[in-house]
Amino acid sequence: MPSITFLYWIPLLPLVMAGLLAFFKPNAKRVASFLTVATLLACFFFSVKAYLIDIEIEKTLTHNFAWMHVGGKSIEFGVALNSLTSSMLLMVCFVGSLIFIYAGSYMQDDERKTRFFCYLNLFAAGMLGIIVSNSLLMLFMCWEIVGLASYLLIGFWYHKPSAAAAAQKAFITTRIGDMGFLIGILLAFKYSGTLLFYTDGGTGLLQSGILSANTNYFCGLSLSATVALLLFIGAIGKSGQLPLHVWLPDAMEGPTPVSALIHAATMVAAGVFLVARTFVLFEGSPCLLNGIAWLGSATMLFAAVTALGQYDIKRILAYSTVSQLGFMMVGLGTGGVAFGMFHLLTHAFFKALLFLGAGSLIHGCHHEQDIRKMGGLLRTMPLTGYAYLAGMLSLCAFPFTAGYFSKDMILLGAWEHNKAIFAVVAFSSFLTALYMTRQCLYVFFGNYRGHHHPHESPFQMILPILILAVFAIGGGFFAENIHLFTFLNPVGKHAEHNQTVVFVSWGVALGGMLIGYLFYHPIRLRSGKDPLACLPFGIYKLMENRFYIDEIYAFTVGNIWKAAGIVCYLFEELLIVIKVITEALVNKLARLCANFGDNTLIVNYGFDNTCEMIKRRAHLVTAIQTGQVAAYLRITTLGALLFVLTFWILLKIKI
Amino acid sequence: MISLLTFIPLIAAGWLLFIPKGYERMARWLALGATLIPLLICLNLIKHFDFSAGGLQFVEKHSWIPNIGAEYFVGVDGFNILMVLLISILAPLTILASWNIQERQRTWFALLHVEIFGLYGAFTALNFVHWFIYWELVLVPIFFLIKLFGNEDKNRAALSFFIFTVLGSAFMLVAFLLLRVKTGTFDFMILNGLATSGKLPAILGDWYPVVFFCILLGLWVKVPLFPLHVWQAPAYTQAPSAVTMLLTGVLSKMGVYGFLRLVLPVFPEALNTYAYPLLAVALLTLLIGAFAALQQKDIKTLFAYTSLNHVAYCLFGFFAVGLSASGIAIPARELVIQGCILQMFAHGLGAAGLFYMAGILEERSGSRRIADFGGLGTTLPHFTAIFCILIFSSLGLPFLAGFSAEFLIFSGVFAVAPVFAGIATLGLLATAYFLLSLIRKLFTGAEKSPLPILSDMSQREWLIAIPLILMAFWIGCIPSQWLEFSRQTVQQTLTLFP
Amino acid sequence: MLPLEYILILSAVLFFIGLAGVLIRRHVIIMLICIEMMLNAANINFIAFWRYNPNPELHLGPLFTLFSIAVGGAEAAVGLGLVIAVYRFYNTANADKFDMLKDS
Repeated sequence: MPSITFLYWIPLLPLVMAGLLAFFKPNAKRVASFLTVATLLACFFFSVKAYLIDIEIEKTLTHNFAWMHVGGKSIEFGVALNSLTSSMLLMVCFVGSLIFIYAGSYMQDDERKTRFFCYLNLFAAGMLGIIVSNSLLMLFMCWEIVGLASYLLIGFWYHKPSAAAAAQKAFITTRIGDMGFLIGILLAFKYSGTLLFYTDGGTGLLQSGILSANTNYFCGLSLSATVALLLFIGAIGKSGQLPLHVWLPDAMEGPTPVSALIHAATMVAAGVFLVARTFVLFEGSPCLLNGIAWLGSATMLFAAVTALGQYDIKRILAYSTVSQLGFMMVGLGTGGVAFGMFHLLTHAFFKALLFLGAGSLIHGCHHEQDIRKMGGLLRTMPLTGYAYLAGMLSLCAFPFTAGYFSKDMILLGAWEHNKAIFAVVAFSSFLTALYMTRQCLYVFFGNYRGHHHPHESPFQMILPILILAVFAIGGGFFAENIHLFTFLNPVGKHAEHNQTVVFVSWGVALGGMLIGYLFYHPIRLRSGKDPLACLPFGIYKLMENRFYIDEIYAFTVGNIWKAAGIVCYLFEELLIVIKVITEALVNKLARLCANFGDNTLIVNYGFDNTCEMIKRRAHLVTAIQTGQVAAYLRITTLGALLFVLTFWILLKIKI
Repeated sequence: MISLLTFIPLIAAGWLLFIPKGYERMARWLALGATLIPLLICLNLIKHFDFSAGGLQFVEKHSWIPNIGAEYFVGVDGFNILMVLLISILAPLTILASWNIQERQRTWFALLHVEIFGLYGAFTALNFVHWFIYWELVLVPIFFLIKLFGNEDKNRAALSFFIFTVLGSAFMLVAFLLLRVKTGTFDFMILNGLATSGKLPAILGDWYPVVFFCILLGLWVKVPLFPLHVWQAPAYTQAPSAVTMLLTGVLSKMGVYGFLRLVLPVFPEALNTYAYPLLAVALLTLLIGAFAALQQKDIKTLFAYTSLNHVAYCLFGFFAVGLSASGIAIPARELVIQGCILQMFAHGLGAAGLFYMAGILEERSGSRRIADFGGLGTTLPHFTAIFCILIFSSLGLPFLAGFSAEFLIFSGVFAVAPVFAGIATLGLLATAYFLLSLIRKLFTGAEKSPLPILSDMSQREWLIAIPLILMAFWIGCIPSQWLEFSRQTVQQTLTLFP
Repeated sequence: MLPLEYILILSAVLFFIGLAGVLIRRHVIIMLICIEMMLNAANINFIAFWRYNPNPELHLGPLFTLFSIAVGGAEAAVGLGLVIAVYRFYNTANADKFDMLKDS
């Protein structure tokens, strides 16, 4: 059995590098980007090693250690290696390295470049930690680190208030999901006493079936399904599913490499990865899987429709990402791990490509993001343009591109599972082709509508784009060659080849692009008004404003939250008022005591008054003092006589 | 060794008062030295601490006033060793934090030292009379420190702090006099023994609930719990930041420690009986703390409510100890008590750090209003970095101190009272929300123009921040080392519970 | 031998004559003379108690009396000095006119 402790280095290397870069000068130019890329390439090397070991040994390998001991129980951490880990590792390290290379050029002029790479490394550490983790808790902790890194990266240009707000929104929204995740962990921990996925003894969460014993734990769901549901809530937050998708489009405030890395290729896929990792828990409950599939398809449709109404090039891609994540969820819900994961891997390539391409376009157009102010860029930026088109074809699932293979699988799975879901997904795919065609026609064809002079990006930015373009087109063949699907899913179900599905798949992709071309023909775009704007009932306005979901949230959740805050605040104020009143009363009482007891009793009628009286009556006594010695003598004699007399009488009485 | 540790600050305080005028600069070096020696002693204690023994160690016991059962009795075990360490870490930091104080230096440092002396005593004394003296003593220097050196509304804050805490202590005194009358001892260990053998309820009879509630009330104010927490926010806000570091770092832990020392080993039956109402109070406190902080406009008040929320987690865990559930696979009681102890330690360091940072901001700009700041990230990058690390530790980010303790508490509470734990996650969410909002308002966006030019962290300030940050990472990444201190003691004590 | 009481009565009479003189007469010199008379009454008592003592061999009585006469002489000298000083201040020897002791 080969040792897999080297897996620890995969998250640790970027982490160490992040720590190191934190102490660098904020503008150390080339060193930071070079070190970062080198780190990730080292990780890539380890990933290849892991992949080779994994191919060789089919079962899951683990290595665990105790993190805490409490009361005879230990909370353990560890790493696990199976096909899920190794394929995801390869993807993240590979795409990650390309994006890092790209970022080195994109962020060239930024003053805080080192800090940027520090955050990127932190992110990579968290993400790779999620992948290699063998413990639910460790996964959660890395998951939070990823959330932190995304917070820092989205808010990287923090002097822009919108970026700061977007960062906060992303953190808080995903944290809502995380609370579900946390409760899920607590629930699993409560009944199983372990948080490990796999152990050598077969007692891990995913092996022993320890959680499936209780068949009706919560509202008809079994215990394992309840845990799975709670974990899925975490995935909803991270992967931007309805209703927690709101943070993802706003997160485009961050620098473009961040959008590519976090919000296309890796972090948002973490939710899907989580579901895939713990899929054993979901399996027992068809009801839950159905729910996931429906939620995924609803998200997919919603996001695709919204994407049609957007003008910001990155926002369109963001909604596209939300939509595709929904699609992956459909794959997981209807088919299984391999369906979702296959699409996750191919999606990572072409979506990273699209984002990097969009970054290059924005860079070339001097930070212009509005597609209405672009146009005809295929002539001025040919390399970026053709690569972008390759990514677009792959996203639209043009036959025999990477996207086609994975999408086909999910459609097959959905067809077998539920025809209604299939219909929604197929329609959404059609919309996907439509909005991507719209975007490309806006950006690359017709005449330039902006005011700058677009130029091609530097080589360091083009190279990753080109490499990704190769994978976006040919990735499917590559995946077929290494039997990726079977590799991901050695025992699970396989979709039967189906003539209808293939027909529909070709139909929606090609049909969408064709209709899109007719609809958004460059000549029609000259008017400056979107062709869809003629839709009745203000539907287009609704799409343009993202169905007012943010506003609705701000109105409902935001206000409830604020109200809770205000209620507590008022309550506090009330307590403070009570306190002040009590203190005032005590004060009053004390003053009363002082007034009555001290002033009235003692001062007025007591000592002082007596003294005063004595002083006033004193002249009666002082009259004796005449100042004449003779008079004094007389009185003295009188006194002496009285004295003697008294003693004499007393003696007499005694005798 | 413990006596030495305790009395060095007192001697230093006496000495400080007799430093002649004109030598005030020497006073602070003396003050610093007098806190570093106890730190060394404490490290020595830890070096010789026997992790496998659950009982008391380094015991010193002398007869003092035999007539009333008072003894000089000190010792450490798993419950208080971390707290002693916490004091010895925070003490030099508070001295450093007030390094540049301008007026009445000797009074200031002397009072601080008396306070530190009282705190050491309160966490190590094991005989009621002995302990109660310290318990009361710590209030006095704080009262004067707030009264003499506080901010604009200092008189009222000092007064209400004093009134509330003394009121609590009065109940505590009544309870112990009753205990003394009934059991004839003031010794915590003997009381624990009585409880272990199950005789205590019988001895106390009808007085059992009365004694329990009097002790409870005494600790209630100190922690504080809802609704007796009203003294806290003004006191924390008005006190100078070095004092607030001690107040939130150590003084608020005295209440929790009281629960561990006086209630857990002595009144297990009562904890079982009243578990749900007590848990509800802790829950209410943590929610009120979290949500009330949403609306605060003053940085220090906001941190005061954060502190209220975080200390309430300790008790949220603590009160769950009285509950039990069937079919669970984890030792819930150990989890909550260990979590409670770790949270005390972690929060002590983290909250002290946060208040210190707020103090720096106040010192530089003369304002505590959140609205007065903006865009500080550009002008004060180092300050921002440290502030953010402390904030993230406070909101429970993994690999930082807050998380490991909160995870233990939540896992334990969830096992026995899932609904309570579920509601408490709202508190976590609210904490994240208002702390991130604070970061956004202070550090991001455009710089506010009326703000004077602020300078970044000085070397002295780094010296204070670095230990706190390191500890936050240490506790967060390797909590097992810290849990080891209390493991045996907790296990032994929890044999009281069925 | 003469009974002791007779002598004591003599001295008492002498004392009261002196006392009456001090209280009644206004002239300061006469008051001084009367004071000397009261002193002599005491001296007679000394001698009488000595003589009727169980052991008169100890000559305590005459010794005391001698002392007393000496002290009385000295006192009279001081008294006369005072009288002269007061007389010079008030220009009179009438004791009723001396009222400086009253604080007014």
